[in-house]
Amino acid sequence: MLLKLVWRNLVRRPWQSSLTIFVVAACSAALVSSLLMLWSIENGAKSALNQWGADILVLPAQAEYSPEEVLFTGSPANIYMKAQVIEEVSEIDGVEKATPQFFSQTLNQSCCSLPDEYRLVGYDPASDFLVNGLAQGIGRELNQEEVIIGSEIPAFLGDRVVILGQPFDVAGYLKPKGGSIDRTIFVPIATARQVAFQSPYLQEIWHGAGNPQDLISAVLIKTSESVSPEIIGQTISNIPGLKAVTAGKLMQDLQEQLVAFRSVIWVLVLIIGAITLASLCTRYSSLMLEKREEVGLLRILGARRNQVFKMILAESFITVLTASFLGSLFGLGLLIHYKLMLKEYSSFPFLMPNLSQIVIALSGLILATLVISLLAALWPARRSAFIDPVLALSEGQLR
Amino acid sequence: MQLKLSKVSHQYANKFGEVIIPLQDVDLSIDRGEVLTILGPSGCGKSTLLFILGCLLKPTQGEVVIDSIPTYRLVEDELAELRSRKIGFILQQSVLLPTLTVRENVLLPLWIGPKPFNKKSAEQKVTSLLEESGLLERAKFLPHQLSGGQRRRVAIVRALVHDPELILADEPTAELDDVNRSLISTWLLELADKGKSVVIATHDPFLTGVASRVYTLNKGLLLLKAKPGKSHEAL
Repeated sequence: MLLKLVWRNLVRRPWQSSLTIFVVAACSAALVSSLLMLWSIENGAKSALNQWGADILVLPAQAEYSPEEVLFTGSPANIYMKAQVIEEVSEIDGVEKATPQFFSQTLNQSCCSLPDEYRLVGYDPASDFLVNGLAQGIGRELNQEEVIIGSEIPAFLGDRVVILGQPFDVAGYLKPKGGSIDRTIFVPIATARQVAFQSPYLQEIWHGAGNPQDLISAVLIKTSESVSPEIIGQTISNIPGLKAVTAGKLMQDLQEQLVAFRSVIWVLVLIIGAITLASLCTRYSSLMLEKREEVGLLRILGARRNQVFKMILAESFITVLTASFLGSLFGLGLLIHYKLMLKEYSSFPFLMPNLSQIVIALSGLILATLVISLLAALWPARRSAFIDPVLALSEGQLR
Repeated sequence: MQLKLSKVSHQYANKFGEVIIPLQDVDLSIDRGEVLTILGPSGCGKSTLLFILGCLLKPTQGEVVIDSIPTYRLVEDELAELRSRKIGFILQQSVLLPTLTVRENVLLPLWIGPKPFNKKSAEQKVTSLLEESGLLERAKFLPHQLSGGQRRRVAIVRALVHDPELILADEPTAELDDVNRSLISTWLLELADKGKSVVIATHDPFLTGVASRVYTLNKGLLLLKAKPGKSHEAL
């Protein structure tokens, strides 16, 4: 069959094949990485908000971090307010549950048995409605020497981690959520306060703010279904020294940011698609000119028009399939690089799709690239199939 | 194969708009086992005649009949199939596919032609043809690694590999040395002995000497040239 001819054309014209593969692979990599990045950020944002479980987050009014940053990044956020705030907000009509959290400090190699920087957060197991619900592997209240770890903490259930010289057992872990929670170690609030109080790095803060036993960093609130979290949030924000942000507001802000981001990505995707189409059109057209004499010979030897047509499409198909496969792998590599970069420099949540979702997405993108290549190859293939063999041959001889 | 041309004329306009008439009222019939040679100066229309005989060009007038079937009744794909089954082309220039080895170039008509073909016997046939033409050692070479004469021989072997009933040869012995010219002449004669029809456009006395009929083509007219010493007869 002419597939043999197709294969030899590809293998024995390595420069031409490689050039086409490079162009398509580069475009595929750009498409894969940008679309999967968008997906991962949307995933992360939705997951972080859905799993958050609180309707309102209350922070000290003077906190230099925005609630979004506190929610989505691993910022240390050493911001504190008096622990009595919890009683104050609990008394507001419509507040069903309120639980405090205490943000301790960033932990790293210098202090602990951890290879990277992570956030230590104390929570109140008694009033908590968030962490225990999310934690896997624990069906009871956390002891003082136990921790629950986010999905990116390099430890496993039953493992022991050393934090500021004190050993802790890993009693539970969280599934990937896409926000700062993935890089957080949760301990009972009393432990967090004790660790923070003993930390030589935080002594200055306690001089100003007072004993950490009397402080909290945030209050997470669950409201009754009958009341609007926005109204309660407003009521809390009216209390001097406090600011509240609702899940709805967070979602709305995030959606606004995502709309702009999404538009940019989709415009880029369209531009890349158009560049791919134009490059392939040019590539195939010039290849067809180059191969006129060969196609003329095939027709003289009895090749039917549809054989020539299929041969050219098959060549394009094999090249683009190889290119988009390689490009997809490279795009995945870029995605992982983006993930690390975003984690380091940005507050965007990032949750990569799971393996089956990635496989489906890549298959879709490869299919789209194949459709683009088919469109680009159709016209040159048709022109070649309808070539006048005598004319093609005589033109070749003139060259 | 029986082939008949009746009142075939062909004309076209060149790029300056001049009307060129390479063939005019040509009548010709070729029977099985015949070797015809066509003589004529360059550009007189010999190749055009071969292309018409090979169903690559449709004459502007007249009729081409192959095995009692007028070719104008056949659509493009049927003509292509006819070429792949029954006609072997030796083109003026030794056009080979640059990405195929010598062996693969020779096998090409079988890849293109009707399926299935017996791969083992095809390989054996190619090996034997390459051996006869002194190309077996070059079987794995690519065309750019061959000399002009070697390329020519590959093109000739390729035209014979699918056992065609009609061989159309445009200057088949050009670029060949005496040994190979003699070899090609012998091959073509042997093919005629096996009942194949052979039409050769040539200046080579080796080939005119073995032809059953010799024609000249001049100003579009095909003339039967008598054997040396006889007068020309207009057809």
